Amino acid sequence: MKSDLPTGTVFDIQHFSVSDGPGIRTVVFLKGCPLRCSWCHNPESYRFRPQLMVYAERCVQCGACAEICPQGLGGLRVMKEHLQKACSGCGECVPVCPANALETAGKTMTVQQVLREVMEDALFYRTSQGGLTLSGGEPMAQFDFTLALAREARKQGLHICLETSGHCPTEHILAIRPYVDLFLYDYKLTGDEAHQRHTGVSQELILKNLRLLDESGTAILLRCPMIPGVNIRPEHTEGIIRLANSLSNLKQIHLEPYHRIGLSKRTRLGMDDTSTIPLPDRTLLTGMAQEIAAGTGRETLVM
Amino acid sequence: MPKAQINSLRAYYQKTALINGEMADPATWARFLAIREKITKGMDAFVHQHPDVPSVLMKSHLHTLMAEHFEPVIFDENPFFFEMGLREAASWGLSDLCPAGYVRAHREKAIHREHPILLRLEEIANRVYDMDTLGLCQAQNTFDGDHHTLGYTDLFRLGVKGLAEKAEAAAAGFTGDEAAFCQAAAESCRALIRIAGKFGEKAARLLEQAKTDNARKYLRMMAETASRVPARPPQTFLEGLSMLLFTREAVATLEGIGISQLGHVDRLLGPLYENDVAQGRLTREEAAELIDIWMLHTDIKFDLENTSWPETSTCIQLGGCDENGDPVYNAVTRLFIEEHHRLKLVNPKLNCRYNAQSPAAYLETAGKAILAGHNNFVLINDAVILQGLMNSGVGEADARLYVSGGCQETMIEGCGHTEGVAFYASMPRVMDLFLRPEKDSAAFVPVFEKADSFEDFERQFLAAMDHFFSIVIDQRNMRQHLVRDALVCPLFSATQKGCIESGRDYTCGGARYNFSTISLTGLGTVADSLFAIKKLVYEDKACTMQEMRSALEANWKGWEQLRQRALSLPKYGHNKPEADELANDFLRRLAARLSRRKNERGGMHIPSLFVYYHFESFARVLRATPDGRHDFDLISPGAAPSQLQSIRDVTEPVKSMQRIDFTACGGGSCVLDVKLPLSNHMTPALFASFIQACGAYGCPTLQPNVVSQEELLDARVHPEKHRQLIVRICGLSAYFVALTPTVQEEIIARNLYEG
Repeated sequence: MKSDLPTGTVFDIQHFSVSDGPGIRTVVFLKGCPLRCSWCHNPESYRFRPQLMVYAERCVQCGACAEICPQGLGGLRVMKEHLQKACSGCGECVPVCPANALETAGKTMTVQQVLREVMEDALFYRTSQGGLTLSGGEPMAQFDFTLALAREARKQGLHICLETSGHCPTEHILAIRPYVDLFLYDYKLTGDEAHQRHTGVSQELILKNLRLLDESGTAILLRCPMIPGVNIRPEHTEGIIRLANSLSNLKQIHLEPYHRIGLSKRTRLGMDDTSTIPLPDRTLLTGMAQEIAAGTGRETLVM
Repeated sequence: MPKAQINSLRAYYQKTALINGEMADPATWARFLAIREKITKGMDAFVHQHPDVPSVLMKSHLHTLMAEHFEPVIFDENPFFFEMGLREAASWGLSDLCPAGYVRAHREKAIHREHPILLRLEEIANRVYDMDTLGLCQAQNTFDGDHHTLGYTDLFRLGVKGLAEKAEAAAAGFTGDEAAFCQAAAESCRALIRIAGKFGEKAARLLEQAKTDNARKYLRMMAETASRVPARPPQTFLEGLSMLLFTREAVATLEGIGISQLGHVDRLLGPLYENDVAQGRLTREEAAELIDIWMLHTDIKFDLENTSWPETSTCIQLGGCDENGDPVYNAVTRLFIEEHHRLKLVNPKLNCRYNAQSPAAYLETAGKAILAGHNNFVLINDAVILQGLMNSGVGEADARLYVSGGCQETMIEGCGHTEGVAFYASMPRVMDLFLRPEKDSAAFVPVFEKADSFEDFERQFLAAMDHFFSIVIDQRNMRQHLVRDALVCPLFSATQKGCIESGRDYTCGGARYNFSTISLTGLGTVADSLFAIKKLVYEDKACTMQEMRSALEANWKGWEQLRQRALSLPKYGHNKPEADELANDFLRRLAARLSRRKNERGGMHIPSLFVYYHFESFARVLRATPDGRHDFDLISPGAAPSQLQSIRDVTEPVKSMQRIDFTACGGGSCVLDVKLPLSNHMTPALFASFIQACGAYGCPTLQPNVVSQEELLDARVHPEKHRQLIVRICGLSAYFVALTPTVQEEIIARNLYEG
């Protein structure tokens, strides 16, 4: 295998996923994202470099981490401001913690290392018509690595899904297109003002990239995060229907209900826990899914 | 829901439930005792007249007397005849009350008089099987009286009359013991036919008095069926079902052995069903109703909601292949699975065989029930069992007809008794006593002194295991050789290939195959401990062997750093090649040593990785182990990893399995528990793909459970809300809330996915 393939920062490889594309899949989560969605359930994916996560409830205050920390941090002091500002995420302290209270989110991996782990599940893909899903963070934000990974995975005959916000240079998305079987494309909000307010970026480029992909004949699945108080409203339902009806290669629509798995991770990362978003009402979402299916003729599932 | 049938069965089995050793209903108990008395007196007189009669002929005469004196029990609106009224309710064959024990009791007394050495052997056995202090191994009896299956395939081909004629013809060609055996087999077969005849006659009498059309319908079915089967091969679906249930129940009653399998039902009944439907004499709905009634009795006999270990040892086999290797999946497969699920039955346990040729629709049908929380299944990988059996010298056509039971123990249908559990052995305890002897343990397990390399250590440990096995097996063989004459079963033997041909009972090695299976428990714990010694003592030199012993002696107290190192080492079953490969190598070498040891019937020993409840009972005396485990913590169950490290996802242990050659176990059952995510994205089709992938990775038997962590935890707090929560664990199908707290905890801890 070539040795000049780029390395990437991966924060998780999740096996046996049955909800990130068809069949049984392995999802590779790449670190780093240009968006800052207020509901994000993977806050450890914001930054591009590795980050320390602290399970404060496990800490026995032995001081082993402080002793080894090259920056003289550690102990209870790693919390909050230090995690936010000073901690370099070097991970030196992780193995010395006797209470297993420290963990590094994100590690540098080569394309070959990732593929080796992904290919261990080849028999699951074969029997289920599953494959590899590239996710994040925003996988397109580590473009060179993502492209190389998709290309090498394609050589192995894998079915490849790419989960993306679509916020990336247009030439990138067109360059990776030939190696992707199905785009899991986010559609978060209707209206650019709201989009900017809740994600920190404009929707313009995202919609442009989506249309170009569609015109190129690539299969698309729309993933719509459903966030109470943010986008569970008739205008957005209509927006989804309008968008869906303008696309020729849209295969399916998934409504992804907000969940709170991200909250504890925010605490472990020393981030402010400000979220007061309630959990969505599934019945309401099921009604929306029916409306969207009726308005688009596309299969619409509440995940 | 077949209400009338349930009520009628329940009324009878409540009367025959045992309370303080007597049946609950005094009148029923008195009637039972009176009948048993007649049989016993008849036998006493027979033995008095024929003091030198061979045991087999004594047993067949007993069968004749049982046939003569029993009173058929017929249930309302139930066409099946199976209850002879000669056992307590909760029994699948093994019974202290049943007159079947007469020969054994009578002959054992004489054998003990003739062979005083038996007393000494029993002393050794008591010590070897002492679970409270030694905790090295456990066995129910000298000989495994459970885990039998009838030769249903031959019964469907020849009928019992055919078997009787075969035995009579063979008797003419023999003299002496062989002739006596064949005469006995023929007499027992005739007794079995007579028993069915009595059911038929009673049904006919009741038919004359029956007041409703419904009552007449079922009595007519019984009267007609009992006049044909089991004497002749079944010609209809109803006759096929009747053959299976009647022969299972009646042979178990007559012989006093546990017949754990009701048969490979879809293979045997599929063609009869298709034929009936084609002839227009059976509809799908009628077939479903018959299956419902047929399956009901086990759950009703056993008071499942109030029994903490409700073993019923009652299974049916589905799927897999037929003797030509063609996949088995038909309308009957679907009916059994769907009706079992619809009625929310706990028993019979559903033992599903599968292979690469199994249709997706088959696994999807099972998946649909399992994903709905109907956790009554095991999925047995044909590739592992068939190749394993062939490695043990079983012919391919015979191997293809294997079934499994009382839990998942492999049995070769109609070819002998594999003695599914000769005994359970605690491999970690052998290591424990090898490193740190207690009292007189050195008499059973040699004591480790010194090894220059890990290879040397492992060799010595294997030799210690071998030494221990030689003690257990030798005493078993000697005892069994002496007492086997008391255990003869000419009727069961008549259904097993080889017995009539050789003129020998299966207990005397007459059957085609004569395996004994040793259940090796704690593979993960022992392999991880070996790995820890390899790394910490011999490679990294983190401690000396003496320090390791001291750490274990202190239950790791004061040795926390060493323990953390031990805990963080690669562990078996976690997709870590180096740990898995060590486990594989150890298993292969141990299996090879075991297979060289013969049992008293001349057959070989095969291992299985099947734990039953011993992950807990063996742990009670098992001190700390080098893998980082503390005193008395649970050991790893079956083929599954230990709980010292959490499992990331369900693919992790599955991928480990590809490094373990389970065919080295020679067909012995190896069980991997898997917990599947309770998710609305997990469809029956994905379930089927998952199972097929597990097969392709070389997984042994899978025991899947689909239940959320929340539900299990809530069931402990609010059992009243979860009475119907079924789990299949340790080979048992059971209501979760009825299990003991330790077992409940183990089930919760085995959650391989969430959390």
